[in-house]
Amino acid sequence: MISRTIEALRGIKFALSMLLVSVLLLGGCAGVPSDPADREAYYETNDAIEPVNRAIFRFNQGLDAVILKPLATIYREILPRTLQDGIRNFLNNLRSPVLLANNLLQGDIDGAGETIARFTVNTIVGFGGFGDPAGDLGVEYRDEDFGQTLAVWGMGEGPYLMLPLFGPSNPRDVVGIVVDTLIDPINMWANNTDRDAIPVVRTVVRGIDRRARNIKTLEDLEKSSLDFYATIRSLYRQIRNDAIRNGDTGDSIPSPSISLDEDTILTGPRAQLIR
Amino acid sequence: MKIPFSLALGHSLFGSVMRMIKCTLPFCAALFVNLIAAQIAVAAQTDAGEFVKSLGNHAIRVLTVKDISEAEREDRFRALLRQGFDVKRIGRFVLGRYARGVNKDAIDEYHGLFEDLIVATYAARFAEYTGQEFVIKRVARPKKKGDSIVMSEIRPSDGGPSIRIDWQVRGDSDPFKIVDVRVEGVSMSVTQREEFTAVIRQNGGKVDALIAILRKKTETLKSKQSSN
Repeated sequence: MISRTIEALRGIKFALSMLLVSVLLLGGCAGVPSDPADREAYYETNDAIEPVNRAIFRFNQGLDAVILKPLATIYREILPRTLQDGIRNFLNNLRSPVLLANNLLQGDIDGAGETIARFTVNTIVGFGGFGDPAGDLGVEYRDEDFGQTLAVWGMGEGPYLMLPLFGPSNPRDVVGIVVDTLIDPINMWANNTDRDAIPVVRTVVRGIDRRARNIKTLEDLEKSSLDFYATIRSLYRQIRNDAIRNGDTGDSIPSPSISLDEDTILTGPRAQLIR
Repeated sequence: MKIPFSLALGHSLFGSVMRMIKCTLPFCAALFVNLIAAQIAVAAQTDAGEFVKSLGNHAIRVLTVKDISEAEREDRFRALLRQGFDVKRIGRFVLGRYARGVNKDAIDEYHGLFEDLIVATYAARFAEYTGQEFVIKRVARPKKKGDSIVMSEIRPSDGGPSIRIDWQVRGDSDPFKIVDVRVEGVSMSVTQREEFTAVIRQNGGKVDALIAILRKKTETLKSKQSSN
């Protein structure tokens, strides 16, 4: 049963990569709108293959409604809160090697120190990672991934992509997910010892846990949103940028145009593309 | 090359462990230091910081009361919104270039509906308040004549992770007006703008289409609230 599921997942993986390639090829053909207002929105949203992305988003929404959301609701309602926290802490702790690699690749020595300290304390004092004593002591979990590392190295995000199952992304973050999966020692160990189910279960549980934690937020968001697809697109980009900066906004103003006069709405490097 | 690197790593590892140990020391000492630090931070606040602080505290005082009707809460929220935010400016920003060439009646209706949407979306959230603390961290003024950024935090009473909120405040002196709120790095104005312009683009560049959808949305949100 499990091996058949894995076969199916492999098939999906292949289909996904083919889809990605064709989507990227298609993306090159999409035209830039001629109307200045449309053009402004076009550059701002960075979504060259919007129709394809919207279709995949609808597919994901359907899947979410029948499978993911019900599972996440059951998970949240049935499991005690402490067990849910424990599962999440455990999964976070398992990510430590990947976090450390990315801390180091980003030249973030302090971050690497925190990752090692967290892993040591949580594994030993936190019962193999189910507890988060390090977080209680003020060194909180902070996610890093290879997509963020590429951004720190100066790579651009590329056009917005909506992936089937995995949701919002972009070429940079797709590469990030692949690299993180490849360098993860738990995955390597599982692959080498024919325990193929482990990475799958891990990904699925992580997905359910994340969904469970965002049930209310996403519900509220969808309720007040006029175009949920556009809201998610905007949020994904902003949340990723915040993660890349590690939450440090500094003294910059990301939305400077608000205070300018009405006639100069957009400034910055993209402005001359529109005028 | 290898030695300084591992030294640096060891040093920062040491730093992290030390930070943990420090936290476990009898916590009254740490609390005391924090309290003094908070006092100093508040005293050194520029006016924009004071403005956000008093607005926030006022909002907590009048909006989180449990025994008022939802309509009353919305009215109070609307009054505070008008007092503290430049809703018109945000509304114009949100429309982007599409704001050009729209006739005045339509723009007026749009601004009214935009305000209604904000009220319907956020007013009810204050009823869920459970004693979080609102703390101003610092105020930045990147450009001499530009807006101030007031950085604040909302700290849950159960000691969970705090939420970072930055307020972009326009003006040199009273009346200050907030033009953007960023929650954990997510700008409300930018998100709203990308959403609204998407709706307009999906409807052939017509602002009227957005207004029609806004009208419907605020109606459903209102009827939901009254049925609760």
